Amino acid sequence: MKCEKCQQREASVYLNQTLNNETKEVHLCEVCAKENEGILFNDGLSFQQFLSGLLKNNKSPQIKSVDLTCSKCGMTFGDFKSNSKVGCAHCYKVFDTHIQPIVKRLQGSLYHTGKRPSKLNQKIQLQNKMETYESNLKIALMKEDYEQAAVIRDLIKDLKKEAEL
Amino acid sequence: MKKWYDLESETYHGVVISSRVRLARNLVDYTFPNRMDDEGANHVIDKTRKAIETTKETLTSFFEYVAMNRINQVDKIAMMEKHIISPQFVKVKMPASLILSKDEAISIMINEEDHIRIQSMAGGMNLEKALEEANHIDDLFEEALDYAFDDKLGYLTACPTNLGTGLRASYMIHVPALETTGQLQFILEAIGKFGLTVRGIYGEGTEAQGSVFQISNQVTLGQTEYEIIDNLTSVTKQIIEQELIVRHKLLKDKRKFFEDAVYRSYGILSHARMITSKEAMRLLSDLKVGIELGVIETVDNKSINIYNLMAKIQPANLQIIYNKDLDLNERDSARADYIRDHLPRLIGG
Repeated sequence: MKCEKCQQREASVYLNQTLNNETKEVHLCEVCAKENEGILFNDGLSFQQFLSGLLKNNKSPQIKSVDLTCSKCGMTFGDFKSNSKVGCAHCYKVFDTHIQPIVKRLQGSLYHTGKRPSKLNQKIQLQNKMETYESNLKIALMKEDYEQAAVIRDLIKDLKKEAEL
Repeated sequence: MKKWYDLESETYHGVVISSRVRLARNLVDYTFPNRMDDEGANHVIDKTRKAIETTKETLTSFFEYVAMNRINQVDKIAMMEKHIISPQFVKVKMPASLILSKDEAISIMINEEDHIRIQSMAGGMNLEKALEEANHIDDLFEEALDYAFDDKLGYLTACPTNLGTGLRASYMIHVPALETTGQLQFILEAIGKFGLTVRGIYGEGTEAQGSVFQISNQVTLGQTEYEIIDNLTSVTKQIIEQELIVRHKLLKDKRKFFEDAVYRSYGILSHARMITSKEAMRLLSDLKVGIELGVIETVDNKSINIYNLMAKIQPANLQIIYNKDLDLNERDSARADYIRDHLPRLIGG
């Protein structure tokens, strides 16, 4: 069966959406299911609210077969829900919007404010610097300020060297 | 080398027994222990050990390494009874190891629920010191290893309940007066609002014995490590204050009953030939508070090192002390012997 959204890829995700006592089956490919969660809930109920409601009580609409799988460790979202542990760091990326309401409910927050690994911090700082330089370079080129562009290019070169160290 | 629990510390009249922090960390290149094969587990063990051995600091002589699959079950349980390892770590089937400091203050569990669990203990009210020590070890690991860290979610852990700081901080407190008068129940209900929780002496799902409880943070994400500790400390100080108020009120209103209870407890502890750990804990708790309030006077004003005694009278520790397998009755008898030998003596007693 083809995906109902893109009409191209093979549908692999089957959703049973029950809202106001009406059950509707939707067939989507994995890409569309991920990208277009909104189409299923275009009556204003966001997917996140939907999922967090689902975990809070069983009276909420039921959703079936959304079983995302982590490409790195093979853990499915269903596995996670049954043993409440993820299989690897990558799972947090894969389950992103699904796991957020759970984290929010457990922790009351989604933003870490504490300690950071200093090594990683340096990396992030370099990255931010690089992004700033690159956008400045684009602006300089747009203004045809080639002198300034050359200066920024040198800075980028230096930064790249620093990053390799 | 003296163990951490033998050192002097600020206990607030004996109410705070110990402080403990634990940091949960994972390596980005490996699946978490619940999804890891033995080969991966061995890699993590090697990498973490090398990380400690290759630091500039001379830590190697400070730590010992224990391969968990080479030691027997009784030794594992004995370590759990002393809070060196978690109950969960006793049950781990895959290759796992323990890096333990000689004073037993720092213990690092490799391949528990997360790849790395750094635990740091200190006597009395000393969470900041415990956190500093744990942070130090964490920094050393970080120099050599690549942690699983997300800009938003912080340190990534197997269970979302540990995300962010990966920090679980706790105080072990002795609150017999609040427990006896039923006031503890109200406090327990109130502290949930502060993102804190109270557990029994061996952590989640365990029973409190001898009025000893652990109070710890529930929330690990959205607050800094120091905010978590400050919050826990200020709530604990309130509990201490209440406990001391109730203790003095009991002493004032019911001195004779109180004295009688303390001396009876001492009588049983010093003469019993068989005793269960539950009864022992209850009586030791009475005696401890009796000494702290000056109701009963001991030679050299010696109190009870409840932390040490509590661990030593647990089943596995008794079997190690007496160097043999003991059944239930033999344990009760060994426990009574051990307590008689280690009770402080009374003045004129």
